[in-house]
Amino acid sequence: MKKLIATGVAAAALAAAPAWADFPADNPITFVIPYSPGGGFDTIVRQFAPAMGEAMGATVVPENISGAGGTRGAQSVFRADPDGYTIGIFNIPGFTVNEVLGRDQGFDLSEVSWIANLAIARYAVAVPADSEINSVEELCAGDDPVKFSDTGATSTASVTTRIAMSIIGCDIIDVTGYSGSNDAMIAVISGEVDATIKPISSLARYLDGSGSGDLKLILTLSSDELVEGVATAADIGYPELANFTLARVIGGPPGMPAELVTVLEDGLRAAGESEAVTSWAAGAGVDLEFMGAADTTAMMNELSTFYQQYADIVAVEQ
Amino acid sequence: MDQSEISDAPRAVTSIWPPVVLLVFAIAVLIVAWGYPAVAARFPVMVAVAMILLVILDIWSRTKLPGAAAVDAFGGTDFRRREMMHNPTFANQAECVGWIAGAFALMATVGILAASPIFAAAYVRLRGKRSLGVAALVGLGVLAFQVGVFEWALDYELYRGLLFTKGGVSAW
Amino acid sequence: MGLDALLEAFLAVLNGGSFLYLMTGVILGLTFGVIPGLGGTTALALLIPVTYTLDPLNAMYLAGGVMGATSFGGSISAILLNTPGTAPNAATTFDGYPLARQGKAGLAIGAAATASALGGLIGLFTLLLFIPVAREVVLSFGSSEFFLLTVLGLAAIAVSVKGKLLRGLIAACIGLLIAFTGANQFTGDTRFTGGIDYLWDGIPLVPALTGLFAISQMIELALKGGSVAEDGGRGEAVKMKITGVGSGILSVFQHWTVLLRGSIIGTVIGAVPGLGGTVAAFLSYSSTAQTAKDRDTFGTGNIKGVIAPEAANNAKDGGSLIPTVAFGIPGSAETAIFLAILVLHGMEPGPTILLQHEREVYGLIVALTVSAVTASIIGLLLSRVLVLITRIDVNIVVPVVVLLSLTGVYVLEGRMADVLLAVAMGILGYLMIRFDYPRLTLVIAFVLGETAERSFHQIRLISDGEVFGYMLGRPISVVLIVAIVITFLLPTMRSAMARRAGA
Repeated sequence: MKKLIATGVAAAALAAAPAWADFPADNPITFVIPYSPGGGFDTIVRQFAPAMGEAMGATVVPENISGAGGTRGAQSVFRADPDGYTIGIFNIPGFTVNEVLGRDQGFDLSEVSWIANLAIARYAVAVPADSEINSVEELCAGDDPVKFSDTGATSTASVTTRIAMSIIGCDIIDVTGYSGSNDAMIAVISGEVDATIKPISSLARYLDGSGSGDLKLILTLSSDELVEGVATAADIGYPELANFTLARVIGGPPGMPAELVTVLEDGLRAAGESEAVTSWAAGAGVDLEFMGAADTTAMMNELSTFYQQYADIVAVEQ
Repeated sequence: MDQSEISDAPRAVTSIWPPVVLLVFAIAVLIVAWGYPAVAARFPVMVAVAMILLVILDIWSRTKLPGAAAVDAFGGTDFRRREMMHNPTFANQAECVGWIAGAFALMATVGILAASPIFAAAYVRLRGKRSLGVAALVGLGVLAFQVGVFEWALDYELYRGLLFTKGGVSAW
Repeated sequence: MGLDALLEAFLAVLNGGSFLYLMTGVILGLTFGVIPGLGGTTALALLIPVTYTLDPLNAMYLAGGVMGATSFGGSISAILLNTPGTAPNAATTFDGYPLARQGKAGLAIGAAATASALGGLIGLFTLLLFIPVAREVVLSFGSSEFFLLTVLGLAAIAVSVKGKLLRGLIAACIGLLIAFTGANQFTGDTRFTGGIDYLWDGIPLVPALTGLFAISQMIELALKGGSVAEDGGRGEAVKMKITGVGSGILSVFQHWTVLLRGSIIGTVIGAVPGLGGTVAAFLSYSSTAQTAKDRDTFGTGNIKGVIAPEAANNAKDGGSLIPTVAFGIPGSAETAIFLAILVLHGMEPGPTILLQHEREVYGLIVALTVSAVTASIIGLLLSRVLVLITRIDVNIVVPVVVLLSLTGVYVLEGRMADVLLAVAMGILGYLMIRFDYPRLTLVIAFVLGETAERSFHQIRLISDGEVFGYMLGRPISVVLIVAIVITFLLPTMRSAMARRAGA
């Protein structure tokens, strides 16, 4: 009931003056997470929310709206009023891939008001640490297709694996169905499959030095050297592979006034620079990489065009 | 459990209609699954075919056709060890299912907190024919638990109902 | 290393503040366990935001208290109301409820409490033994073993639904089809969704089980009328005295082989991600019922039918931590939430979890141990009061249980669609009771279906199509194949022997 009245008051205020005039007023900002508590999307939002609220002089409330592969939460953001009081984190390029597959997600990524990008994870190719293979060339040299492990065929990692290896011209079988990315990496350790492509931050816990030392990297999908002594996509002559990333993108309902976007963008930027967030990121191995609204929107368009080129590989049936 | 209860399973339960409904269901599933891509279709098709065969055996065991007794002996299709030994009327069953559906409808429209005491009290009073005092007591008890455990101790906002939230059914 | 840490954790838990968190967890776990529809997963999911502000170790005590207590709490409603408080208690209803109807609720509760506590201890002890080799255990269980375990589970269905084989198998088919609903993991194709977004993630387990077990039972009970302890219409109340609690406790020691077998099955199944307590308890029950000399009395109130599932049910918690200590991966829904709590506290669980987060892991193990024992003691102390539930007018029990379990379904994910699903499943479950199709075989097949399908898909790709040859090359797979063959042949061999003895 209280909420109803509050919305009524907000609506009245909207009619009287520009929406952003005193934003953020006393109302809390709802930060939608389209997955259950405890995952990567949930954790980063819960870390950013208090710092963001402090920077903006407002309360930012994380809200988990899970279901339908994350589209239910994204839909709720998409359908909310563009008054700045509802924003959400988006699964990118997961949702981009779904659009390429032609699936109706109940929202249109090109209409979302993009606010910022908080972090970027890059991928790497990993093989067992005791393997004699030290490069992608050696990995693909055999007569049989190389076996990779993944969770689902529409997961970002699986799409990345299939597109990247087809660009390189490597014949692969992507064994999907592992219940999590950890299980997929363990399948490499136990020898069920030959290799896997996963975000470097996830692989770190199985690498020598940062983790258990069961796996080693043979290629990072990046243009700059990210791990000492490991070849990059640019090194082996396929710089376009650096397009494969996992982003943490924040957006709001379509048609949000530019002034509101700026206020929120500044709040997120300040949060990303705060002591609490930076120290957490260092401990958890998250690569903070802040991008403003304009850069994020440009990146979203690029990603859409990029995946569209490979639509037939994305949709492949095994 | 005395013998008289065991022997007389109601006609509705032993008739061929329950497995016939399942047969229609299984055939529908088979038709739908047949249209899926090869890998996705493999298991559903297998299960649907197995189910059709099993259901046909079930129907057979309920008839007087030759071999029905053998199917019965092998498949254990008699009704001697039923889970539910009483035989309510159709109206009574419909009423009970209606109450459950009513609980959901009430929760959906006015929210869980408001629906809880109303439903509990109404059920105790109307179906249970207990006094108003008992009905009110049960209603307040449920409300106290919901508010105390969820809203207060765990700080969780229970659903407020279609009437009081934005987004309608699409927010479910 | 291990023993020091364990001792340290034990001493730490005796510290006043920590003990309070643990006991809060136990009470919450018992309460959520007793109420159908509210289980350990729901309790833990609700606690995640609360633990955010706690010290990580206290968060572990709270979570461990909940985890250790729910399954015994659930056995109380299984025995007294024929409604499993949590899904894994479903197998306990088979013999627990008949015992209650015979006025031996005390015996059943005593046995359930003791079997839960001891099963929990055996599971955790096994875990401690396995910690040094946990890595090897996890690595030797690949897609092939997962697939064969699901086949073993399905085979156990086929041979265990005594007297209802055909209808049990039909129910299992429905369960498998339910499991296949939604976007499948491996190819991403959506199946049987009818264009409904909600079904894209598949049919969620907790709402479905709440409907099938709790809501359906409430419809049946409402139709029966009277009170649980009273036969509908006839008005003759069975005397449910809480006597025999002592002999219930003793019975567990008399049938120590049942306890041990149940605990081992629980630990092993618990260690396999995706199978969980319902399958563990069911396999423990069916293997005990199959091999017992007095197997004809199972289902009519055999105390061994209470001990077996309850031991497995609590032992699975220890087992589900084996993949967790080895690689930081969850073995059950509850351990997944435990890991989520670590992540929320800025820790990153992985294969080095035992080195980096030793305190938290041992804290959880100690909390589970203490919780399993104290929950049973509290349960025994309260048993006299609890049994009064069976004397309450069903017209009061039914609305209360329906409301609380539907609310429980809502709070798990905050989705009204889940509540609608629970109601639909409740009506399906009632029709199954009415027309005598066993619900548990549907549920077991439902739980196993997804793992069965995707692990088969994986073996096919990994083995380049040589599925059977690949399995035969793996020792644990061979053992499982033998177990499956024996499961199928046992009833046949037994009837052949009986015929020879008769001739």
